[in-house]
Amino acid sequence: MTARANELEALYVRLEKPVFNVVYRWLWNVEEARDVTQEAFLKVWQAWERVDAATVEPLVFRTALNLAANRLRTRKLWGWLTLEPVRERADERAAPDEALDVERRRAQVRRAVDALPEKLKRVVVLCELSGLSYAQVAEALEIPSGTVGSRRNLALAALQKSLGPLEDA
Amino acid sequence: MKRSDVFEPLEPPPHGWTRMKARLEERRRPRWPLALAAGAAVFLAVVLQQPRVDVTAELRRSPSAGAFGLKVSSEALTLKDGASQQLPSSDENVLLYRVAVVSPSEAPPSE
Repeated sequence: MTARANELEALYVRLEKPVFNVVYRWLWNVEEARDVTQEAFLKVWQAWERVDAATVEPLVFRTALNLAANRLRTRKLWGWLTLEPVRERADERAAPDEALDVERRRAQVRRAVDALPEKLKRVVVLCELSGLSYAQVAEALEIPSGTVGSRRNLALAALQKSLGPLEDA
Repeated sequence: MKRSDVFEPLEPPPHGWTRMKARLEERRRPRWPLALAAGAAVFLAVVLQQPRVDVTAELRRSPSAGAFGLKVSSEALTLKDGASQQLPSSDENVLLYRVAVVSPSEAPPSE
């Protein structure tokens, strides 16, 4: 395998899980989240010659978020065009025998996250799931570092309003 | 509720890199042979649909048939309200006629 391919593999292995988790919070579908995750890496790979190694991680997350948002818009538009009612997608992780309250809590979390304004949602999901530093989140979202902190706090406050107090860890 | 409940990390589906490698391979494969084959198939389908033309018969009916080396039928010339007189020709593939517009009663017998 070429050195270039090795670099991509190393990047993919390192970032697949966090990117998948970020994208999943947009699409709430495992298969679509996996597809969009891979599309993001493919796009970055196509521009590999022009990519700065120091900023490749924020670039991957930025690309993934944009693809996920586009996919969500397309899904909503398709639902509008076909006049299909927008059904809340069931959490696929729920096992049939899982307690009903666990399923209810997950649905509640999902509604609370989906209700966040887009700008706050991007910041809080990246901060909590990507493993990026505040500076890297700022790079990914192309916003000032200080804005990351303030938007994260606003997002967590909104989530606590919906879900009750959130304990650390 | 814990923050980790809200942002519970999930495991992606297995074999992600294997699938990713397959997608990279697919993108690297050149697509022009497929496009060329498809274009050729469309071209053939269109051409084969065209009705066949008997070119020789068409030429024989044409006034320029002699130029193509095709013998002209001696009955090719028909006149309405006219008369014709065949004139000598040095080329057996070329027939010469003198024609005139006349009324049926004035038409001389054709030679």
